[in-house]
Amino acid sequence: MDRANAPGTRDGLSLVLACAVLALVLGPLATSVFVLGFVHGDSPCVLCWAQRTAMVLVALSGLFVLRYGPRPRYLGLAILVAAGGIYMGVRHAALHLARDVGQGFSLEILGAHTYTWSAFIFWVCIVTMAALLMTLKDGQATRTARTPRPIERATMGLFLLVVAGNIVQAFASTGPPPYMGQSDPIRFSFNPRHWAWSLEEWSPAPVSLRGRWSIEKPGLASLPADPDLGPLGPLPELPVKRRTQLALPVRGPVTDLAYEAATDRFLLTTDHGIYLADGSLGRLARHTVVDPGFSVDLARFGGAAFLDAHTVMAVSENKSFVVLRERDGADADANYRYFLESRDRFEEIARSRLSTVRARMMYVLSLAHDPSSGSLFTVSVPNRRTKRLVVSRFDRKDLTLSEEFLPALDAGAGLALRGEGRSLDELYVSGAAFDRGRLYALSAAYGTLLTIDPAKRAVVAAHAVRGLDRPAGVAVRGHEIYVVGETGTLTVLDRPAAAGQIADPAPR
Amino acid sequence: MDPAGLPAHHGEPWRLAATCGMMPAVEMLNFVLIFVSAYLVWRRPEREGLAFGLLVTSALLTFALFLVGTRTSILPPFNY
Repeated sequence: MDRANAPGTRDGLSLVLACAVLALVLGPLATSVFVLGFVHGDSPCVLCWAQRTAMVLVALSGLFVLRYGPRPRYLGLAILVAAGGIYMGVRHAALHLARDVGQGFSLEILGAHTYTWSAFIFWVCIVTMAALLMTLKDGQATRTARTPRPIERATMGLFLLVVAGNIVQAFASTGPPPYMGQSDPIRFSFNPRHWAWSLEEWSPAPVSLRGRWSIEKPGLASLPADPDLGPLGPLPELPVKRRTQLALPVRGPVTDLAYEAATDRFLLTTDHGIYLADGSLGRLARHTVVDPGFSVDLARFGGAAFLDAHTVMAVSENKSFVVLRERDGADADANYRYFLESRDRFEEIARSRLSTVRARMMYVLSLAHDPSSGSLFTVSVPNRRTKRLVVSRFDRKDLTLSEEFLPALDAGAGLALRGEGRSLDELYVSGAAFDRGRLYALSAAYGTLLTIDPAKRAVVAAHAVRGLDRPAGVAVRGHEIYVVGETGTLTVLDRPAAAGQIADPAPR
Repeated sequence: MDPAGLPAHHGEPWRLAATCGMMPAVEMLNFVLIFVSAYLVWRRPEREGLAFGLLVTSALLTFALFLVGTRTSILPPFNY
């Protein structure tokens, strides 16, 4: 007899393995079916069933090894199933991990819900298998079947008992084939009148890799522009005072526009470019291109605003943002990490992310600043999965969400939807500006300018604007509204008057 | 049977007889396969091929069922 198959070595390993399988059977598996299931009435959901079954299969692979020896196909399958179990545990727990503290699904064990334990148990299984494999001697994997010892027979008998318990529970809570586990199982009962069997999981559903997080990037190219087709009934029209083409040396499509009255300057953004121009929009005062990578991921800029006369903020469509302050003679070498161009004209004050609740699954293309209340506003754009017009307000001090609302139509505004099924959620706000207590939100879809009163959380006026070509930004300058298109087309309108608005400042 | 011709959602005694003859699949069947496999390992070790085949079948069925339950988002539903 070779040393590898010596009885002492073989029996020692088998004893350790039998104890490991026994621990798995008597621990999580027996507890889940007899204690949680039969005593506490816990019914696994469809995903829990698959995780529990995979755990049973790992234990069964151990029985194969006990009976026939550590053949490669048993070990390989056990590792495959345990690795799949880790995936299942993470995938299942991911449904609940981001919820508020204490929230979850079904029962807790030691402060963690059952599905959370699954990934950990599979991980322990893999670690145990790896440790046992390291103790195998050469040639030991080819051992032939042998008669099980008492502890191994006990392990097999208990395993069969646990599986029988699962057959009973599976029959009662999921039913005979073709019924299968449910997403929202009900309390377990031995009384057939309380059994609920479901085919819900067989219902057609799209197959997706990332599910609801798979959301298309926003864009203005294919939006309907005709205001007469929009969700709001006949709207008064804002006549175009003048329309010109910007002659500024701005590279790439323009993505937003903002205005600062104290210095009479405009701010324009491109994908990652920041441009400050004079009040006539005829000359650039300074510019830079922000390095978007290697830190907080700055996607394409969608909105921009002045925070004060010399500080600007640009928010990306993914709500990441950067705050820059003008500074002549800034240290270009120190700014290498922040800027791709003109590294000596600005300093970076902050780079982080705005977090929302209702607009979490939507991108934004706008940013507006209200200096009087110290608030910043973004407005969401709809996508294929989520269609809601959400106004989010952030505190300027800590750039944290202060409130969100879905604006309604003000009762006194004389506005109405065109019919059943129409909604403000169809609008696609690509630019916003704040002026004298009102938030102006321009929708690139249906050429509609909304005037929103944040105090009322309502649309107090709406106007049709015709002839806009992919409007990307809007700014208020005195009595005029400036709209810039992606291609650099500048459209100037009269600022609409809205009831209850703060009066214009007295002329100086 | 509801008006659409589908079995009632909540259990009625008659429904057990009405559904037991359907083609097999799913969780309960899976545990039956596992039970038979373990029984063969213990009491009929000479049927190792069949027992292992049942083990592999059960593993495939388990992951298929999990994918049915998660097909609308195969990756964990996080922000990637």
